[in-house]
Amino acid sequence: MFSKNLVSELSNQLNQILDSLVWVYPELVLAGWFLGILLLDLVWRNLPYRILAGITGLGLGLTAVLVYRQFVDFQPLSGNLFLGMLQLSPAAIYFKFIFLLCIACTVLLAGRSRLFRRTKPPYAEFLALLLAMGLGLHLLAMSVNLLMIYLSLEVVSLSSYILAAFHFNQKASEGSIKYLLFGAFSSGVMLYGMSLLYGFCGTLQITDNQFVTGLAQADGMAVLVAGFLAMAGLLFKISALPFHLWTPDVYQASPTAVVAFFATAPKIAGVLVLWQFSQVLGKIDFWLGNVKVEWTDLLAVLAILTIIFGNFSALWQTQAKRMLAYSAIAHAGFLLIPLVAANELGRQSLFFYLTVYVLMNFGAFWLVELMSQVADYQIKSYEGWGNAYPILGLGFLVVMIALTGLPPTAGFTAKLLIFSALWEAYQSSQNQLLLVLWVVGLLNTVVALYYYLKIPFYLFLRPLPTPPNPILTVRKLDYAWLILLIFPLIFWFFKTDWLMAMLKMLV
Amino acid sequence: MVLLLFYFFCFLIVVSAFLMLLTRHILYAAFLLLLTFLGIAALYALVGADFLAVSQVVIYVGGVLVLLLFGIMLTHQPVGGQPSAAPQTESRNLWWGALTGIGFFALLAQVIYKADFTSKAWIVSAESQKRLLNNSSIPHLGANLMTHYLLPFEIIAILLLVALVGATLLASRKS
Amino acid sequence: MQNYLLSILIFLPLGAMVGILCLPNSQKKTFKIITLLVTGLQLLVSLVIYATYAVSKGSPAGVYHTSGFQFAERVEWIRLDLGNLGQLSIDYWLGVDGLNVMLVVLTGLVMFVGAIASWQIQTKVKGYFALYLLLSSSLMGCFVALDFFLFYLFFEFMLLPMYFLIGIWGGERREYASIKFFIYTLFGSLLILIAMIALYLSVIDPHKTARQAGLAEKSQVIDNQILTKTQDKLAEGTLPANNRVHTFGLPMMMDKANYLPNASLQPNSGSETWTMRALIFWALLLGFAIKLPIVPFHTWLPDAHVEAPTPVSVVLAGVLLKIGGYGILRIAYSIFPDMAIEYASWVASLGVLAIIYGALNALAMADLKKMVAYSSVSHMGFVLLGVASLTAEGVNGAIFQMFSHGILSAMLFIIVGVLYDRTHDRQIEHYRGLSQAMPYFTGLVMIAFFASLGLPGFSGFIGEVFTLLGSFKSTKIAIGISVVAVGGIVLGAAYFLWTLQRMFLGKFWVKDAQWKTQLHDLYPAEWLMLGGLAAATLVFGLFPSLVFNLTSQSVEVFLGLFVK
Repeated sequence: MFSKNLVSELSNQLNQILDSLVWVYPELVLAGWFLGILLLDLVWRNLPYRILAGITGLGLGLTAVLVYRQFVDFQPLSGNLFLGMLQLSPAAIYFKFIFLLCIACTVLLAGRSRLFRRTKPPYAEFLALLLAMGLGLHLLAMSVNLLMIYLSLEVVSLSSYILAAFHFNQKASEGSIKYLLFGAFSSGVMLYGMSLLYGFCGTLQITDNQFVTGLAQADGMAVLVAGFLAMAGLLFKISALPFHLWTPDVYQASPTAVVAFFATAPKIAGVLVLWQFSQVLGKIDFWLGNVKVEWTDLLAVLAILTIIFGNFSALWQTQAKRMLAYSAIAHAGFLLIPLVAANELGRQSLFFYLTVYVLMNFGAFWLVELMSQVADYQIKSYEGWGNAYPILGLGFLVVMIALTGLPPTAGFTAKLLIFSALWEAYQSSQNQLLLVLWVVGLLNTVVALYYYLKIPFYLFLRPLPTPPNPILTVRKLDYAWLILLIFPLIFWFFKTDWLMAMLKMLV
Repeated sequence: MVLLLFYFFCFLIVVSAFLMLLTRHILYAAFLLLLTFLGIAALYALVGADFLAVSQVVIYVGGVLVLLLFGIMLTHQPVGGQPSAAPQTESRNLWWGALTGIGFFALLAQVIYKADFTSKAWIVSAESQKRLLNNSSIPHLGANLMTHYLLPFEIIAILLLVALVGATLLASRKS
Repeated sequence: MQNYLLSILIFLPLGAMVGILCLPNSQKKTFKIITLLVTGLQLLVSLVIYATYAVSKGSPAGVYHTSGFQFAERVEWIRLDLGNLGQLSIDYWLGVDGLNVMLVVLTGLVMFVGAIASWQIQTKVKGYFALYLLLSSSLMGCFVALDFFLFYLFFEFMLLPMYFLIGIWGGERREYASIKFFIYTLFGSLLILIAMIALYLSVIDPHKTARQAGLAEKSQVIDNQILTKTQDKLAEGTLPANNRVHTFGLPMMMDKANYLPNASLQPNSGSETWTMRALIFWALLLGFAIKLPIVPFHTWLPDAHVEAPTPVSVVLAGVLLKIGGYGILRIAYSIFPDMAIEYASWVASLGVLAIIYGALNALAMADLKKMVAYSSVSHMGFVLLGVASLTAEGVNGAIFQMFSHGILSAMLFIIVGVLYDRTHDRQIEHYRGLSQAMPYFTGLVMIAFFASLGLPGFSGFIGEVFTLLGSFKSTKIAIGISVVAVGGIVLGAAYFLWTLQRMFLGKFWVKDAQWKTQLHDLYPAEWLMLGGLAAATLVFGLFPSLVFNLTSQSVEVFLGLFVK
């Protein structure tokens, strides 16, 4: 049926695939562990969380070792895998580490969470889904093909919908359904946009030359609209406008550990793909009639809207997790800024911001979860606990200051760097929209301060209500984790060069 | 002739999908969905994607939809019964919604019109190569699935497993 | 050893703070003693700096002469490679010149007085003194930092301790006041951040760039020739972009030759009315003006002052406000001299507005502390007027006025504290004829009031007269503005004298008969604080050269920026 020619080409392709297999060992381990945990649970039902978490940890450790081997063995030529589906870059390797770190933190935080232990959800499924999500994230970080982007995003999304419902009460179902509906909608929109893009260039591989030339030849407005639609799923993942609507409800209703995970890992992956995507689309000038529009203009508008909406909505929140949800929206806007800047400094500052962002978020959610022992998630119920537990209070203070972006925390350095990148972009392009974004973004810190400060305000400025609420137990493990998460936030402010020197290598 | 068929099936798809949205009766909606699926299968067949057309019929019409109908019939009131009560939330912003929808549709229509797909170089060359192929697309699908699209194929397996786990989990946990 | 004096000023209180945090909660007395000792040492060190500050003709006196700073310390702190943007370098760079030497002395003095006044703090002693020391450290850092980043770090760093000091140990409306303070000043500091980012990306450090670009060997001493060569290459655009070393150093930002040729902050970049330079200049000016404060943005000040505990009010009025004035001198004016000339009248008008508006408000206040707070607004207006005049008299006068107001406002707030401690009431009309019950106190109050309203012989007089002289002499601002400012002095006399007459003269009467037994005359600690400050205002009023000797050279250099 096939010509001889074709057969030899086929065997050639199969050999390439076999060669590629070496570079996805971490992902294979994750997939294997995902299946393994499900099987284990079938054989031994009701294993305690401790054991299952330990096994998961083993898998994560093994994956981390394999990722490290990739880092060591990495050669620039070994870039294209599976006939152009994946591309392994140092940045992808670095963020694979970060994803594994996020999963580990989530597993630990879930084990620590009282509410989670009380409702006794099926632990095995919980961990298995986390691992599946990790697999999706790993693939997403490496994807350079629209189909792969879409599929790995779906793996992440599907796992998310289920994890969001893990309290199994009405509130959680509501949050999860909302998440599912918005998610399905945005992924539908994304698919539509992708199919248009495919129509323009006849290839799915965004790093392909044909992709760029195809887009450059197509009508400007058509590409702009199609590109925006294709971004939808990613904007949804990073909860940027106009796909942010799910964020507050899901954050409020889902287990804190899961929320902390949602706020970090998928967001990072989403931003990374967006970065890739913008790099390609940024090369093209779009002409709408006589007006020249750039891809970054679209991103800049989205960033401005997202920052303003997130910050101002957060002002009215009285619930800690809801407030953090709006803060996550606002931060999504800040994460778009390096994409708008689209220069070398932008890339480095984005990586810096993301790294710091992981620590800030896990710090914040860990603290919120600790406080939930004595208070519900209402910020008001934090009254006076800062004086009773100064170290905890101090931790909150540092994390909130870092989220606001004030010195002496790495949160400030991150902001300084992204806004420096943006200023530089403005200097070279003289695009007034960038200046607007620059000023709006910086001045929004005042708004951000107001709501972030609410937590230290209640912790320190209000007396502990008498009689005191139930006892707050803080274990040594909590302190250890908090120090591990919070110390770098301060350290990297004073020694920014250490982290930046490493991030610089991730070209 | 082909063009006429194309418009006929398009009409079928759009009308049935639209009616599906409007009807309050879930069983009717399911039957209308059947029509939509069939129409889409026909469109696949028209562009020469024979395997896809057959799969569409077998999987969606024969599998998914039949399951759906079973589910509805087993859980829902019989045909002819009163449709369930009005939805609890009122629909606000009807006009704004309609306006946005129509506006968006107009935008997309303009995009597709402006995109001018038929003159795209790669489509033109694909059109010319089409005649060189045999009548069936199955060998190429098979080869591609095992080479270029091997990884997506495997990932879909994981994706489906995740969905399966999730579905059983949520269903079994319903209090 | 002398080289590390400025670092000692910053890190001594920081170290003491860590020490206090490590001690158990019960050691209340120890916290107070440590704080007193540390601030005393700080005062001592700042006096050593004052005494050994070299004044010699002919030597460059700081401002933009990198070598002219005394007690200078400079170590590279952060160096980042920004890829094709070149490099970013942040220095740990401290130094003293005529613009800030008196403010360092003032900080030492006021922090020490504040530490004495803090003796009465009873609740959460550990936290209070830890924060107080942190505040002291960041204030000192703010005045001696010569790197914009370092300055900004200290500038932001003092917000948090201040927020908690007002918010936890303040009066009834402390929560409102502390948040308002934080939000207002953060808004100001963001405007400064905007300027900082725009500036550092436009400016290079010629020294480091020369090394980076290979124009100077590693061991070679960089002389002027190499610097000029580097700057010329920069101007021609032949310096490769990745060899540029961007700097936060303030003196570097004052040199036109260090700007990138295509930066929109480039000093020679066209002459449209609203250039980027003008915008950034106003961002800086507004940022510092909020701190100063300037009238439309002053509303945080009365609230913060009134709600803060006495020692914190003392520090707030005595030192914190000066950062606004100092920042305008050191940063806004020095880096944007062209804009300063262009908008001199506007800035002067803002100053006069503050003078008059503050005075009128002070006249209307029924609460003594609020009256004092508004008098601060009015007095700091003179600082802005003096700076805007761009004359030797005006700028020297402005620095003197900052120093003098630091002493006087500390004194005034302690006076309010003395009354409030005894009766927990600050309403002016609730007291009459206090001179009969508290004669010594009244004597010191009279000194403080007369000094503040500008009686010759006291420091307040010198500051006001010199700023006014400067503004009249100045060619940059309209004469009418200065005439109105004179009215401020008259109003100042009016509210101080009126208050004196209402509260302290006449027949002894207080609202609550019980207070009569509580109104003791001064305690020793209060004697020490008020007496010391009164002596200081008298000494500096009689011998203004004690200040001018140190400042005038640097002011001359500073003014040199405006004739280039």
